[in-house]
This record gives sequence, C-alpha cells and structure tokens, in this order.
Amino acid sequence: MRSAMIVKSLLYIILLSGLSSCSLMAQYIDQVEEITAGNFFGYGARQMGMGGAGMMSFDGSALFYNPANLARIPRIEASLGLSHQEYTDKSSVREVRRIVDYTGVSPTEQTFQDRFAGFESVFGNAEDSKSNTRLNSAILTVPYPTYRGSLVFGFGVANVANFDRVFTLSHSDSASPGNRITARGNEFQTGGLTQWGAGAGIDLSPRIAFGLSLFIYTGKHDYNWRYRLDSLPDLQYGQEDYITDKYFGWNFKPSLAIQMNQYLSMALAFETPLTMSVKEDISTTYDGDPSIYVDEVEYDIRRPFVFSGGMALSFNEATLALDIDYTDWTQMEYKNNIFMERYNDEIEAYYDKVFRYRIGGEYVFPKLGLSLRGGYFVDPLPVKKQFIDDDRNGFSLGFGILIDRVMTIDVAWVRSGYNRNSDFIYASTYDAGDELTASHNLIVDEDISYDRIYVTSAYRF
Amino acid sequence: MFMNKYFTLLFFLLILAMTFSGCYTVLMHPQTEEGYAQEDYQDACIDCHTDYNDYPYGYFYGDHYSDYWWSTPRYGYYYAYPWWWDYYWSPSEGRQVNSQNEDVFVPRSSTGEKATRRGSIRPPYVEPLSNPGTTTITRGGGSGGRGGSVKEGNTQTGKDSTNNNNNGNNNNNQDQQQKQQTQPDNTKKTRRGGGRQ
Repeated sequence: MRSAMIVKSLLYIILLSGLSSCSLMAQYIDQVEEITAGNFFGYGARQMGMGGAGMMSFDGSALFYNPANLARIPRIEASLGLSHQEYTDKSSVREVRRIVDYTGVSPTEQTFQDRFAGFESVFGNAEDSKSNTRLNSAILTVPYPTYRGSLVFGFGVANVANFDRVFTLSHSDSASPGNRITARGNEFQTGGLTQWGAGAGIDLSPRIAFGLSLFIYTGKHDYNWRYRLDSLPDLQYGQEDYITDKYFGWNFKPSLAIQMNQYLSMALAFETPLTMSVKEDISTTYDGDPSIYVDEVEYDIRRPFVFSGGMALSFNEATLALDIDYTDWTQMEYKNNIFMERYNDEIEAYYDKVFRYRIGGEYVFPKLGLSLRGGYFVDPLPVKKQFIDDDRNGFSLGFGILIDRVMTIDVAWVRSGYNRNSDFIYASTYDAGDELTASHNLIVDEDISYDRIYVTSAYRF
Repeated sequence: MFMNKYFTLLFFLLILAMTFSGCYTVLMHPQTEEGYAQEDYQDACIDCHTDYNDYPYGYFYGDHYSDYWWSTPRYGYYYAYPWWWDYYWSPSEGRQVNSQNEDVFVPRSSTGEKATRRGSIRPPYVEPLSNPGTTTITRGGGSGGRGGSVKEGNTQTGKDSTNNNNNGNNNNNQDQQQKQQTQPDNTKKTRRGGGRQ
C-alpha cells in the first residue's frame, strides 16, 4: 500500500512537470508557432470571390490590398462587410510514438520505455467544429476634388487574421484488457487580429498611381486547453490552461498601380516588417489543487517584409486577375525578451519561405447588373514541409450586384483546408537544472477544413 | 531605433509622392482671365478639357472605358463619375435619361447649331436599326453640329462618338429613326378608332 502511494506520487510529479511544460514552455520546436504568422483571413467579398486576388480591384478594400488603386475610386464610398466561418478539425494519433532526446542523441521512433513499458498505442481519432460570425471590414473612401488626376483618401478597419479554432485529442495506450491509459484534450481558441488602416492613392501620370497605407494592428487571442489523463485505476490527472495574448503593432504599405495598355494592368507593393508587442497572461489549474497558477510574459515578434505583385487582364465584361505574395518567414524573430530570443534559431528551423498566389475571374452581365466570380488560391502554411501532409489551398465562388448606380452587394463562398502533423509532448524528463532532456511525443495528424462566407455592401455617394 | 528608421522611410515616400503629384494630379485650378463670364463657363472649360467628351464619367486609367460602361451608364457612373463633377456640370445641361431611367451623358454642343425644326429624312439614307428594342438618344443640330450620341444595344467608344460628332447628317437620320421607333409607344390612344381596311 505504501509502495503504491510512492509510485503514484512519483508518477504525478513526472506527469505534472512534463505536461505543464507543453503549454508553459517553448521547449519543443513546435512551440515557436505563432498564430499570427501566415494566417490571412481575407476581406472584401468581391476579392474573396476571385480567390483572394485583390491587387487590381477598385473598391474600398484597395486600402488594404493596394492603396494605389484608391485613386480609381471617384466617389465617396462607405462599405461594410461580414464574414462567417465553419471550421472543422479531424484529428488522429499515430500508433508510432517519437522519442526526442534533447541532449544530442538523434531522435528515434520506438515505444517509450519506463512508465509506458508494456503498453501499445491504440489508434484514436476525434472531430471538433466551430462556427463564428464577425465583422469583416468597414471602410470609408473620400476622393479629394481634382482638376486633373486623382487623390483619394481611405480609412478603415478589417479582420486580417482569425483565431477561431478547435481541436480535440483522443488517445489511449493498452497493455491488456482493462489495463488502459486514456488521454483526452480539448483546445478552444477565439479572437482575431484587427487591422486599422489610413491611406491615400494619387495619380502620378494618366497610367501610374501611387498609394501608401499606414496600418495599426490590435488583437486578442484567447486560448483554452483542457487535458485529462486516466492512467491505471489509481491515477487521474487533469489540467486546464487559460492563456490570453494581446497584440499591438504597426507597419505601412506603399504600392504602385500601372495601366500597361487597354487590357493589362499591373500592381507592385510591399509591406514593411511588422513588429508586434505581445502581452501574455497565463493561468493554470490542476485537478485536486485549489490554487491557480498565474504568470505574465511580454515579448515582441517581428514579422518580415511581404512583397506583393498583381496583374489583371480585362476584356470588356471579363476580367482575369492574379496576385502573388512572397514572405520569408525564416526571418521572423522574437525581440525584447532574452528568454524568447533564445528560440530565434528554432524559428529558422521551423518556418519556411512562402509564395502565396491567388487567381480569379469575373464576368459582368451589365444589363442584369450582375457579376459572377470564381477563383483558386494556394496559401502555403509558413512552416517546413515536414510538418505538412497536404498544403493549404482552396477555391471560391461569388457574385455581385449593382443596384441603381450607387450600391453594390457582393457575396463570396470560400472552401479551403489542409493537413498537417505536429508532436504532442505526452511526457517529459528534466535534469537538475530544470532543462528538458527528453520527451515522449505522440504524433498528431490534423485534417482541417473550413468554409467561409463573405458579404460586403458598398454605397457610393 | 526601429521606428526612426521606418518613419524616415515613410517621410521620404511622402515627399516623393508629393513631388510626383505636382507633375500630374492637379488640386488647384489654373488661373483664368478676369471677367470670366458665367455664360462662358462650360464653353471655356471645353477649350482646355478637350477629352471631356471622351470621358464623360471621369478620366479613368489611360484611355479606356470598358464598353459596357457606355452601353450601361450606371456602371460608368459608379466606377468613374467623380462626385464633385455635378458641381461643375449642371445636371440640367447635357444630361438625358435613357429607357432604363439612367442618366446618360450627352455633351453640350459648343459649336453646333440649334436643332432642326420640322426635319425630315435626309441623305445618305440608312437602314433602320435592326433591334426593335434599341433606343437611340441623340442630341445634335444640323450639319456641323457637335452632338454626341449614346446608343444602347450597340457598342460605342469615345472615339466612335467623336466620329459621329462630325457627321451632322447622320445625327439627323438618327433623330428620324428614334422618332419612328418611339412614336408608337409615345402617341396617345386613337380616339373614335374604327375598323381599318
């Protein structure tokens, strides 16, 4: 009886130290993942109906896509957009586990020893879904009266990144009938990154326009993780994390729009690096422990340059548009926190250089006042290919109507998804200096899909 | 340090934009002669803004309007008509309403003559428009008139418009065609109508 109590206490301590490290310490390379990286939500139903190609579109969302094209808006325009997302995450845990030795020994895949000796993983899967509706954009554009050329100012706000996600982990190990370890985790995330913009577009010549937008970013990310492990008849472990991140940052975006000829127009733009200050509040509770463990962390994260190009081919009622972005996410870095800056090397090992492209078409039926749209996009995850099973891509459909001569209503449907894998630290060991020496990881595959509806209406005075 | 660097770049770009803006975009109107008469207002403007007839909904990227902006003017209005133009161009002058109750731009003639009264068909004779639903709205005088025209159901560019402007006879023919087409709809119901042979 006494020996059983000792074993139970030891197991509890080991699990407590190991599992709490999953969320509180960025010890594993996966922990450098930032939800703000490569997570563009999209705005403007017209642009999203064309696969997200918006560099050469002439409405208020030019403030964010390409401020030079603000110069093409001749009337005062007020627009408002909403978005709705249905998010689904199907997860599964591989039967093979991974041992990671942080002391320099190459990782090997094998059944974990020690406490799990004799147990074998049982394939497990789970599914979770979440829906949310949010304000997508609100933009006001004001053209200044000119005698020649154009000067247009734009002001607006848009939901540039969406943090609404769910994930369920379901896993079990079995040694013999009735002798089972089960683990279940529920992850619930919500929030978003809001982009506030002010900019202007001006004609430099009859066929060249220049634009500049200043963006301020604010955001909040609420993260909740509930984890419960039942091991043998005499051990139960439960943990719950509440993490809130608050973001603030700014950058700006200069751009050019060029009318090459009657049919072809092109755009060039870049976004300056975005440095966001992050303030993180953490609170953790454990089953059987009435205390709440709280912590607070502050750091900066610097997102690299984003270079963009776009072109549009117009043949009267038909338009074909193509946008390309390039971002070298390996240049992302933590700043103003020496503990976080230690992981900048891991950022380079985890993130990748990414080309993101969108192609879309539109056909206008003038007599009906109707436009039909469709598009396709490839929006690669910003991480190394080894963490991706099937990269992110999707398609879109949409339509728009012009009412009288002053109001438009645009609707778009976007279908997208990707498959990725990640390690879940099932248990871990530490040395005397509280440094992680080895971990026992489950390999989790996630099949993520989402449907998004965008509705935007604009009125021109 | 970071902010100083990017604010410097931002400042540089703004200066660059302002420098370039003086080359093309003009916010202030050039000075005009004193004694500028109100009645000369539009005529004098056309002297400088010669492309106004080609871009009735506002100057839009180079030299191109999508064709359907002409045939379906509300698109031209939505995408290209500056909100302040109403101030400079009186709505009562040079504007008409087409069959879909849309504003249609019809440039004011600066050199034409008054419209012909009791006009009749004149050579060269042309075939009536084939599409019975087509409406032609024409403003133009006799020969030498600078009337513009906007057709529905037919594609027409600004250059086409200019060409038509040079043919006053054609305008008169279109007057006749329009009269022939619209008369059945616009004439009052026959009184005391009886049987016909």
